[in-house]
Amino acid sequence: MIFNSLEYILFLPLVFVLFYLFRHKIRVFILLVASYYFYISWNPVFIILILLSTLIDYGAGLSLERTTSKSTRLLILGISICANLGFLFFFKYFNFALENVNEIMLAVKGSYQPIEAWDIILPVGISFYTFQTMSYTIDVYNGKTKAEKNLSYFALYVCFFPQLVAGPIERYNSLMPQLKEKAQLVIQNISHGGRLILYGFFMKMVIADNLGVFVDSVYGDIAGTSSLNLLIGSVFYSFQIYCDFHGYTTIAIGSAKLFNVNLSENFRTPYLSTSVTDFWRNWHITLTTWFRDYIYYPLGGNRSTVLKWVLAILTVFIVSGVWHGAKWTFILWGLFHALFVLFEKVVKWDKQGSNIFLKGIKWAVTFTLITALWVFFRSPDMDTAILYFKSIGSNWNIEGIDLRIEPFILLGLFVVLDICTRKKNFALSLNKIPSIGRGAIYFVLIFLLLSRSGTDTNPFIYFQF
Amino acid sequence: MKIVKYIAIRIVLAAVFLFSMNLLYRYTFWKEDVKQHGDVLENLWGVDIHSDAIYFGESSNFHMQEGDSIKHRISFALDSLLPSISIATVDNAGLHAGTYLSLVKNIPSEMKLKFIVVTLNYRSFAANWRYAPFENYLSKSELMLSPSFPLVNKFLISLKQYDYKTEEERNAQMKLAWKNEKFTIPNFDYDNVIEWDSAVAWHTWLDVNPNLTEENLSLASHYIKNFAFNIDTVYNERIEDLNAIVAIANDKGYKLIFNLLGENAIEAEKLVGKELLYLMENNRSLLVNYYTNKGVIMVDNFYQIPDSCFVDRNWPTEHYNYQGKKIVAENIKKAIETNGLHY
Repeated sequence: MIFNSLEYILFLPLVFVLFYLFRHKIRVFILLVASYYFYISWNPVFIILILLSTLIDYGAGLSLERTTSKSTRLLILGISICANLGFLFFFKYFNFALENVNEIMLAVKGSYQPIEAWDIILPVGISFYTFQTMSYTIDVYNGKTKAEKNLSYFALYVCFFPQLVAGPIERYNSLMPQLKEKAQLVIQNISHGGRLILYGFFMKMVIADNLGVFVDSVYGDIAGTSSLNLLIGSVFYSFQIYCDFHGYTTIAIGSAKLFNVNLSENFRTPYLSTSVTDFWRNWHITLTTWFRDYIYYPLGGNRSTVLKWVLAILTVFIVSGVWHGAKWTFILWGLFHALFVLFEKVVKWDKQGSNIFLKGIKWAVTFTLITALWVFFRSPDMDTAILYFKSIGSNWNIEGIDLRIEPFILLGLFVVLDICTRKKNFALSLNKIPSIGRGAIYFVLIFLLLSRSGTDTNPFIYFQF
Repeated sequence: MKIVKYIAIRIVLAAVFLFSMNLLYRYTFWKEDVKQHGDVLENLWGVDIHSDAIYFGESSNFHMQEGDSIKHRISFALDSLLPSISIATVDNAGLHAGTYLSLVKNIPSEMKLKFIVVTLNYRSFAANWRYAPFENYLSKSELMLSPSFPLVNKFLISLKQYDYKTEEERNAQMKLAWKNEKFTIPNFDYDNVIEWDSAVAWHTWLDVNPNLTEENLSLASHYIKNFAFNIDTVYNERIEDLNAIVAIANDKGYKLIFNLLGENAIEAEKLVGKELLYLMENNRSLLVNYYTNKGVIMVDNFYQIPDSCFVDRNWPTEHYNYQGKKIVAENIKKAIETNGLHY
C-alpha cells in the first residue's frame, strides 16, 4: 500500500476510528496490526525481515541492559549491527558487490566466467527501519536510552506505518514516549494532520508527478533533447525529488499527527540554502543527523585532526551515497557533496559576505551545484550521467521539445507556498490566515489535487531506497 | 458532541466544495483531459445527434491499403450503401467490447437511434489481446468515460483505480492464460498455446508442414497466439461486456448488430493446420449462436474475406483493402435490409 492510493485514503480513516474507539491499552495492538497490514499489502514475505529485525534488536536491547561486561556488551552490539547490516547488504548490495567482483576478476585474470546476479527483490523501507532499529541498539549500548521491555511497543516503534517505508527516521527517545502516551481525540490534531496530508498529496501528486512526466521524457532521449530542455529537465528533477520526498514525509507527519504522534521534520526549504553544508542541514534532516550522530561524531567529527575530519566528512557522504543505492552514480553523488562541503570549510564560504547581493550569488551557486549533482542521482548509470552533461553542452542546435505552461505555473505556486512555510510548517502557517483565506487555499489545493494530479508516474522515489 | 459537530460541518462544506469544483473542472480542464485519457469519447461527441445509427469499430474500420483507389471506412461504405438512413462512426485503434460498452453507456439520450453496429473482432477474445499492455490505456479511457463526476473520474485515474498493470504483469497474465486455457481438439498432442507454440518454435513442424519455412515460422506462432483458444462464455471478459451491451440496447430500444469480422482462415490453415481451423470454427459458431439466441443480428463475415484482401502479411490482423471493406459493408447492409431497419 502506498500513500497515494485509494486503499490508503480508506485505510487511514478506518485505523483512526478504530484507534479512538478502543481504550489506551488496546491501541498499541491496533496500530501494530495496521502497520503490519500496511506492509504486508505490499509484499507479505518481507514482513519476516521486519519481525526478525524487531526480535534481534529487542533482544539486544534487553541483553545490553542486563550485562555489565564490556566485551559481552560489545559482542551483543556487534551481533545486532551485523544482523541489520547483513540484511541490508544482502538485499541491497549483494548484486552490486558481485558485479564488481566480476569486473575485478575479469581485469585480473583476463578470461573469467562471471558469476550470475541473483534475482533479489529489495524490500521496501529496509534502509529506513534498519537504521531506526540500529540507532536504538547503539543508544542502549551508549547508555543514552533504557531498553524497551514491552515487545508490542518496541515492535510498533520499528514498524509504525506512517514512517515505516521512507522515514522520517525516528529516534527511540523521541518516538516511544509519544507512542506510549494516552492519546486524546483533539480537534487541533485532526485539523493539523489533515492539512499536512492535503499539502503532502499536493506536493507529490500535483507537483512531483507532473514534473516527472517531463523529466522522464528528457531522460528517455538525452541525445535527442535540446540543451535548454535538458537544463529545464534538471531543474524540474530537483523539484520533483524534493516534492516527492517532502510530500511523502508530510503525509507521514500528518498521518502520525492523527494518532497524537509528532514525527520529526525532514525538510526546511533546502533549496533556499546558500551553501552545500547548509543544504544538508535542511535536506533529509533525520538521515543527516543519523549520520552525524552514529558515524561523523564517532569518527572524531570536527574536534580531531584535520586528516581525521576530512576522512569523517568523506566517509559520511560516501556512506550516504551508498545508502541511497548500490550504484556508482550514488557514490559519486555523495563524493561530490563531500568535496563541496570540504571546499566550503576551507574557503570559509558561510562567512563570506552577508549582503543580499552576495547571498543571492551564493544561493545561485549552491542551487546550481545541487541541481547538477542530482543528474548523477537520477541517471541509471555513469554513462547516462556523462551523456547528460555532454548533451547540455552540445545540443544547442536541437529544437526544444514542446513544453506545456502548466508545470511552470504549478511549480511557481509550489515555490511560493514553500517560501511562505519556511518558518512554520504548512499546517501551522495556515493558523495565521483568516478562515476565508484558509478556505480559498483549501479550495485551490483540493481542486488542483483532484483535477491536475499526474497520471503517469506514481511510486515515491524514496521507496526504492 | 463538539467533535461530531466539527466533523459534520466539514463534511457539508466538503460536499459543497466538491460540487462546485466538479462544475469548475467540467468547464476548464475536462475536455483537454478527455483528449488525453479518453479520446474515443471525443468521437462520440462528434456524431450528428440526428443520426439513425452508430457504427462502433476499431482499426479494421479505418486502416487503408496504400494502393486503394477508394479510401473509405467500412462505416462510410455502409452509409453510402443505405442512402435512406444516416450512420455515424465512432472508432479508434484497439477498441473492443469493454470500450464499446463504455461508449454505448455514453450515447446521448436525445439520440433516436434505430440500431447500433458493434464490431466483433475474433482476436479480441484471445489472451494476448485481453491482457495486452494497451489495456491500460483502454481501461483508463473506460474510467474517464464512466458516468460519474468527471472530477472524481480524473482523480481515480491519478490513483490508478483502473485495471492498471505493468507490462511484466500483463505478460505474466497472458502467459498464465496461455497455459491454463485448455483446448478441446480431439486427438491432438498439445493442450494449450504454450505447448503448441513451443512445438512450432522448436522447428519440429518445419519437417511436418511443407508450407512452413524459417521466414514464416514467427507468423505461424502469431496465428497460434492470436487464434488458438476456446471462448468460455462464463469467464471470458469480452462475453461479459458484450452481454452488458445487449442489456443496454434492449433497455434503450436500439436494435443491435454484431459485426463479426472476417479472418484469414486460409492462411491460418496453411501455416498452422486444420486443428487451428477447428478451434476457429468452434468459436465462430459459438458466437453466432450465442448472440443470435439473445436477439442480436449477427453479421458473419468470418470466412467471407478472400486472402488477397488482407493487407498485413506478417501479422494476423483484420485490416482489409477496400474490396474487403466493401464486402463487410455489403453484408451488414443485407442484414439491415433483411431485418427492415433501413426505413
